[in-house]
Amino acid sequence: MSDGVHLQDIGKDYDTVTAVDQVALDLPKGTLLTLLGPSGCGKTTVLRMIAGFVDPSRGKIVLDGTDVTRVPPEKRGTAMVFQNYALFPHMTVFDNVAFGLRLRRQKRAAIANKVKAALDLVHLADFAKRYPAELSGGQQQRAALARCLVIEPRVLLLDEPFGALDRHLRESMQTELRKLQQQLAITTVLVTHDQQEALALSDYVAVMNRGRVEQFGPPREVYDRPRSRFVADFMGVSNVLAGRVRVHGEGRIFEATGYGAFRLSENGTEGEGDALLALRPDALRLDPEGLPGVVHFSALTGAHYVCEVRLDAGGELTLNLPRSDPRSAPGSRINVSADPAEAVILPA
Amino acid sequence: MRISQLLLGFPAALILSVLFGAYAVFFAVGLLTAVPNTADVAGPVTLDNYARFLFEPSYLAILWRTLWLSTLLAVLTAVLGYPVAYFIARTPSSFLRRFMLGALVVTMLAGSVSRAYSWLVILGNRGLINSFLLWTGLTDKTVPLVYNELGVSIALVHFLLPFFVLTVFGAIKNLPTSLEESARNLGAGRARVMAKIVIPLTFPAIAGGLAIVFSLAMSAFVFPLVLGGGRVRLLSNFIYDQVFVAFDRPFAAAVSLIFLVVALTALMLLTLLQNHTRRLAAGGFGGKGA
Repeated sequence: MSDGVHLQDIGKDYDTVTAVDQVALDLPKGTLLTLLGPSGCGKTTVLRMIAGFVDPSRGKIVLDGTDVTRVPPEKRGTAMVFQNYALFPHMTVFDNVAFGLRLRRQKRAAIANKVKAALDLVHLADFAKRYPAELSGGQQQRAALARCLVIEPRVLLLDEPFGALDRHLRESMQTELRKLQQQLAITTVLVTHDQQEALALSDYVAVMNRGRVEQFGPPREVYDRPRSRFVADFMGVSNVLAGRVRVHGEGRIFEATGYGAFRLSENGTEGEGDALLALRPDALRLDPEGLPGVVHFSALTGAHYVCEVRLDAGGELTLNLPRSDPRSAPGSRINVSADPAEAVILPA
Repeated sequence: MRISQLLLGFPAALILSVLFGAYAVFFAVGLLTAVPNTADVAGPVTLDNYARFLFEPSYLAILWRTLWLSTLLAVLTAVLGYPVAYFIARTPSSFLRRFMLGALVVTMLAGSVSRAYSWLVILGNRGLINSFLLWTGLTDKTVPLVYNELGVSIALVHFLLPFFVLTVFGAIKNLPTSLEESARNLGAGRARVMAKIVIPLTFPAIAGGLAIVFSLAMSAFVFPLVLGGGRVRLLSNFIYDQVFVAFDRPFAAAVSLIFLVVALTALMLLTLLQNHTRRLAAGGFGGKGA
């Protein structure tokens, strides 16, 4: 078995409840995988199984070619940044970071050098003598990260690491983490419920739902080509329309009940029949030939307005309009069509 | 406003003056002398009672014995009680947790006298344990389990355990499990997690529990009386004898006050230890490991 993280059909049952089932993921060494899903989807359980805090009921966990399924957590060589950071409150930052090295019985001088290097890496060199309670949230997180990096783990595990930070800090910490991860080429598994975070940080994303992986792939693929309604919803597709795929002249169209017809791309492989059409707000545009409707609500999100449109046929769509476009105002009559290249057909 | 504040302070002042007044009475009565063959006390004011105790080696021996036994029992209770508290705090079964806490509270609330006699039934020469040992033929004569310090100690540890466990349980329960997981994740085995994380971080509670248990052991009266059978001489029983056998209330009062001062000194030492906990805990136990 090659290096990296390999989960072979792992599952976990609690009494009669199946928390995780048939999770099979292969993560090449040095890459970052995000487990993405709503709370209760089993993503944290998977992470805790990799760390060894939860015994899988089924399946195998292989880290860098070694089967660690029955290995206790202290011998797995994983390092985890906990949601609340779990820094030892009775130790200084230096002692916290040195903790793992001391357990590995390294020489005093070597420990001091490695701790200093790790603290430099996370810009905490000046805080070595402080106690965790004397650090800000962001500093605590960096200390927790340094404590993990210093032991050079086989895999770095991050449990919602940015959840407790305010938005501005969160974004800069995300960037910092991703740069470090790439620079050190450290295999990483991150758990989050934030799809933006998943897209921004990952080499691979596994979208989880009810204990199973619904879709696994590079972030762009998961974003552009969701394979189920759940993934589409979770990746921020706000328009999912029920209807039928039909051949129409040279190409194919999607007839959405209560909406009208949308042209599909030429190279689609879907056959005729009942299906769902997923349209991101970005996939919709103003088009004089498009379906007529009235803007009934709009909200500014920054670069653009998110507008809700009620079509004359009855259905509702959400689309983005540029800030400067006067037609974003409620009450405007507009005509809408979809970019065939961005329209995704999902199984009904 | 000021008058209402004074009024609010009045009940507290009253209660405190009654409580501390008792100690003042001890001190005052200790300065007097018993009138022979009566329960009366009379002047002149003298420090003789204090001197009598402090310069009599056999009396001081009782004091040291009491201190030593209380220390020993407090430590033994802590060593036995801590794992129990840890188990109760960390068991995933809430039924087991509630059951064990319930059992501890019931034990704590059960009367001392009834429990002392229960131990007599269990430990006595014709008691459950000795009957069993004789029946199995493991011994051919009874093992002396009562009317000695062993019997008193067994019963006292049983009496002290709930106090220690309930004091420490809360502190362990409040310690986030992620700290233990994080330590294991970084390479520490279970024993090391205990020594470096759990015990140092709950040390204030351990010191507090030790203080409670030590005070209770020092002032234990019924268990030494019943299970010691007059052969185990601890200070509280000695004071009792001075009052009800020798009818020497001034001497009893003087000994009580000396006892109180010694006990408070011991507790203050424990508090000092508690205050230094943070520094002690910083390195954990068992050296720096490097």
